[in-house]
Amino acid sequence: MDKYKLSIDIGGTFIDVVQFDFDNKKLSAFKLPTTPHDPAEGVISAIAGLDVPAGQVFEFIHGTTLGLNAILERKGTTVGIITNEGFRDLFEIARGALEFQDMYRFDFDRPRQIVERRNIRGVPGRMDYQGNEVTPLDAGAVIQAARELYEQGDCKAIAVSFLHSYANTAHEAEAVRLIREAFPGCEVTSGAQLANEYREYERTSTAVMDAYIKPVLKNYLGRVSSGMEGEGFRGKKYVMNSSGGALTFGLAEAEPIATVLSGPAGGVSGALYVANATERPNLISVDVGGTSLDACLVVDGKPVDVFEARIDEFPILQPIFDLRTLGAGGGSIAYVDDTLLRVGPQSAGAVPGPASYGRGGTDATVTDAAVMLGYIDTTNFMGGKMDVALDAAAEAIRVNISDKLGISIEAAAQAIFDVLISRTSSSVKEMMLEKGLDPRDFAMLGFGGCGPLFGPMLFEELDMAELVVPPLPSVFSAWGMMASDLNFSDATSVMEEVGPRMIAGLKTTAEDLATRSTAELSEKIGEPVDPTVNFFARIRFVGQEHTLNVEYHLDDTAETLFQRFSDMHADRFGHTFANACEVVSLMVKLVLPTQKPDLSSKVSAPLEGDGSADHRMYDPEAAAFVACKRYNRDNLVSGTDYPGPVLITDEGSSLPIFKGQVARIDPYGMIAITRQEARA
Amino acid sequence: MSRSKPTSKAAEIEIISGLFISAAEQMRRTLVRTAFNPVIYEVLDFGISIADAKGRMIAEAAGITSFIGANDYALGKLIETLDHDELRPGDVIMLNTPYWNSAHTSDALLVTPVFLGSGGIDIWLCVRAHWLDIGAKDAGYVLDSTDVHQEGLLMPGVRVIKEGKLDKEIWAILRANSRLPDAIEGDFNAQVACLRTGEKAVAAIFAKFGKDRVAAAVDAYIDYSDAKTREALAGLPRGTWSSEEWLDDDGVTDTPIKMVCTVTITDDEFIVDYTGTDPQVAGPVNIPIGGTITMAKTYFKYLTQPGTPSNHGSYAPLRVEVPEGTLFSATYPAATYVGWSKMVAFEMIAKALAPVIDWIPASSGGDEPGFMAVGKHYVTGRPFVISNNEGIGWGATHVHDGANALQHPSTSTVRNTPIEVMERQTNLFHTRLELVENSGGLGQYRGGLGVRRDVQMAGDTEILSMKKKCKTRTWALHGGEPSQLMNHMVLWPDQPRQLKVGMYRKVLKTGESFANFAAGGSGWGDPAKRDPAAAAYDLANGYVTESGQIEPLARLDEYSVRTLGTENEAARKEAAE
Repeated sequence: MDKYKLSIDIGGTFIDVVQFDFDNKKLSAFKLPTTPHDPAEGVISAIAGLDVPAGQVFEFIHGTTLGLNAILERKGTTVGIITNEGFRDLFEIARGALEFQDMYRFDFDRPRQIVERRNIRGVPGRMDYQGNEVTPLDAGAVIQAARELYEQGDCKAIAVSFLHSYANTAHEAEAVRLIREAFPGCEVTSGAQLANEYREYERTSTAVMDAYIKPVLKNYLGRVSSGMEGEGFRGKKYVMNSSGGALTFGLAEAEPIATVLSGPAGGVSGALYVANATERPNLISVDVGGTSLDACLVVDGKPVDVFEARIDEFPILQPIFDLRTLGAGGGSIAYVDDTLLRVGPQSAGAVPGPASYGRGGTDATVTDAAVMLGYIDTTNFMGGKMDVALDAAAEAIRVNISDKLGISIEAAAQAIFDVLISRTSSSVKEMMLEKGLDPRDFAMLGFGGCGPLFGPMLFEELDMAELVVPPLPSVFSAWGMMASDLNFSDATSVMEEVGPRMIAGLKTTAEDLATRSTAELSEKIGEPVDPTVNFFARIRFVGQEHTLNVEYHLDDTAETLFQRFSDMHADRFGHTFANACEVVSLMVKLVLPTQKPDLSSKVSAPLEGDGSADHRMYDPEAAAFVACKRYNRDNLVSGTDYPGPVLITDEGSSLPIFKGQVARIDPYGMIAITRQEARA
Repeated sequence: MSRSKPTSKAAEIEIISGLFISAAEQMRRTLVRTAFNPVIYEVLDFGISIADAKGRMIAEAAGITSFIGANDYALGKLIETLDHDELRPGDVIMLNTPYWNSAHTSDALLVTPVFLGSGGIDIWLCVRAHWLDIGAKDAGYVLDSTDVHQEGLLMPGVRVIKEGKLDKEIWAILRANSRLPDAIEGDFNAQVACLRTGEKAVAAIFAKFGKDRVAAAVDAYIDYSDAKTREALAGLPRGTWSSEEWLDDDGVTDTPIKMVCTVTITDDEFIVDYTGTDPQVAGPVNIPIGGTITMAKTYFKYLTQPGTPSNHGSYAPLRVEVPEGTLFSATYPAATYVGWSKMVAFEMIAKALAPVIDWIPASSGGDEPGFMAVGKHYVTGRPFVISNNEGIGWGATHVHDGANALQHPSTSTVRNTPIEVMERQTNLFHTRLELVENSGGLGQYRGGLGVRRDVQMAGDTEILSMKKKCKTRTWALHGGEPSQLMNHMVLWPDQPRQLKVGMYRKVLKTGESFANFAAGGSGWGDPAKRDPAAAAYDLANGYVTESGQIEPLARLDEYSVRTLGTENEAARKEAAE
């Protein structure tokens, strides 16, 4: 009984299902096609398709892009806003700026407002920046506004957002209470409750997005819940949040905005686990699929959190992994632009896909280049589900690249990788530099369908010491969800200079925050909890805008806290100051650990013998094909060196290791690739 | 780092150019992360570029939209005049003399030569950034200077850092001449960190590919951009067209200033000629030639290649003609502090070409109608200087309405300052921030709406209203209408002594108020042809109301605006009493 843990990640093309058997330490995975017309149906059929009774699964973790897609496709509900009188256009006026990619488009077409102006009301009531009430809240006006928007209008959800609510939440809380009481059917959300931070537009945007996806997510999770129960499931249900933790379904329904980057968070959660469990505290995870690459940093065994993400033009103030997405993947299209060879960001997508899929694609893609160069196992293409169309791949590269540049197909295919890897490594370098970090101090964790394909070239270009490829790389995001802990965070605005007097107040604030949020957590999950409690303070020098996220300990003095901040500043930026610093906000992170799968669990039974086969792979240094071996991952023997060139495959991906590189299975079951020169 | 493997030439051009673009981006991230002053990290008042030995720009990371190629002219002058034998690795040269630096004195340009083994300079790295105070006659912004020596300390291109070592004596002079020495030191350090990041990045490129391969790829990349730009140029009509505009005045006399722009497009040139514009004036609205060229580059960028990174080749067909000693080619000792004339003149290229290029939008609200505030915080007593850029309506095009409340196109990436930041750091207590209904110029496609912002002083505060086009109307296209609303500020909107101002400086006492109005954009096409569904949407959402009129306070009679700095002296005396 109760021995299975299950995770399901819904991506663009596939539903990834990973299941772990705690008794037998056995990991298994399968993929199903997505059901875009009704995503809940896919999840329920995945449960029905398990080879074990659903009743024996004690925990289920889910990653969904439903909220994100509702925003991107503008398929959320009709939202109304209630804000301060005189400020009804605050959300439309926004910050008034164009994104960098549009900066020279002087005929810019601003997208239509997601909240129509007629659905925005201002009501009397005002706080000042210290949280003092300047004008009392007009309760009658709040109810009247809600009546117009909800009862007489077409709004299904209302976002309440007032100036300085981060300093004093009383008016917002009162308005929410009044609306819920008068109109129980109306979804209500408020700015400070989601993001207790200054900056009115960003906070309002967070509340609006939360309201916008609330009914969608509630409906979906409800359907998944009842469908699963129909299949006999009785365990606990969680959704991944954007910062790599798990939320109960109830918490996710209450604050759906927390799940908005749920999809990629699974991979990051897995990366965090790998970083700590395999003693690689500095890790950059590189998750590569068909169209994009998600990169995320783990520093000193801890994730790099940021507190603002952007979806389209909308800022979201939520703790989130600092995840960067680049338009580079297996489907990225290569083309000749005058005298330059370009790769991406356009992608062939799943339909028609790369030319080598044989589905009518005629563009030259990265996958086609890999096929031509022997970087992908063509005898077991796409896990054996598809025959490779070699001729179509060769033709696509010949027509689009080789003929135009007057070079061979192999040279063209390798040039595609040269451009792709250079561009990708630049982006990764910029991302690290922004934090004052050096790629040479990091190992790379490569996963996703194309992570193992990119990894060996990318880690070498970045001069990193090591590339690590986990088991089941193509479904690692789903696996990573199993490694997430139940996590809950809350923050409070502080805005005080660090000094002896404030530090006593900060301690009280921290303790109150911990007590309050623990109580809230236990209320929300319906049982007493005893979480691990960590505090983080966002600190900056007085006069700076950007903050650093510094650990705060309850026994900190003004000196120790200043020192920790100053050291981090020096570390990140190369200089620091003796000036005063201030705490902008204090965050508490509550963690309830879950039971996690073993890393070293094998996926399938090894084949007879050493499982090797003959293979031919392109050697970029020699600019020629060389003969080498190909291995199935589960046949690799722990402790043995596998020097490149060699191709290692598993059911969903191929890992081409080049001359000068060597692979071995480490004690944790990871494939670790290093450079031979580096080891000598 | 390993040396690069051989690859195809097409790949190598893309790779090496990409690495230079990334180097500029790395410099930008370092600057933004480490800067001390919000004018850099919020207003993005900076420009970063990388040039080859000849001063040809290879890559840049612009902050403000109109800072594209802004370092090119200054770098050219430095290359021309510096004694190259004196320069050493690690040197940092500082320049802020307007006539070379192409901007006002507050923009400090730091340049470093990079030596990568050829025995001479291989690369120049440049970063300009706005410093909060360099000792001008007034704190914050100077609105009525009549001579460059009232605008701060001048650094004529001197080495502040020699072979990696800060010249402490020069630095002492800089500190002594600033009202905010710690702030400028913080920003100087951030700029130096930015240059050092760039040095590392370009050194890595040279180490990997070698000097010759880098040079070949850079040449090919510049040629590529040149070819692409000429391809776009070929799509523009041939001929000569002119436009005329008026700047309110120079801030010290009330004479309007005439500006003329003539654009000529030939098979291989795009010529912007400001001949016919008034001579340089006494007040600080004059523009150095480099600034005028930069402005022309920015609009040329929109017309040719708005979506791609720039380099030297992107402007090869562009030529700018300006007679020396005129408003757009100011010479010593002309005052140049207030660059607003550039913003007004920016859309003159559009105005000249709009009759013959159908996709050019109608006029935006005209210029950037922001404000600054200087004072001591009413609770903490801490001194503050803050600025806010206000969104204006953009002009409609032949296919869509103009955007509501966006920054002026020449500063399109600059964000406004959050109310909660202003109320925390300053005495500006807000009572209203709304779109001005009916302020979009009518048309088949409507101009974007402007903004009204009402602020009450929580403590005595000096307010600087910043706008330079309040007295003459903006322009619409093909039967559309200009906005009814023009940029201006109303001081004491709730009192009989109500005063409507343009560029103006005034101390407001505790409890007193201003209302800042940002203009709407102009319309495109006959309003009668507007799609009924669009008209209904406008009415339902109050963008347009039945009356069709903007609110009475927002109306501006062209003779009612006060814009003279000389009045401010009297006003300040009155405040001091």
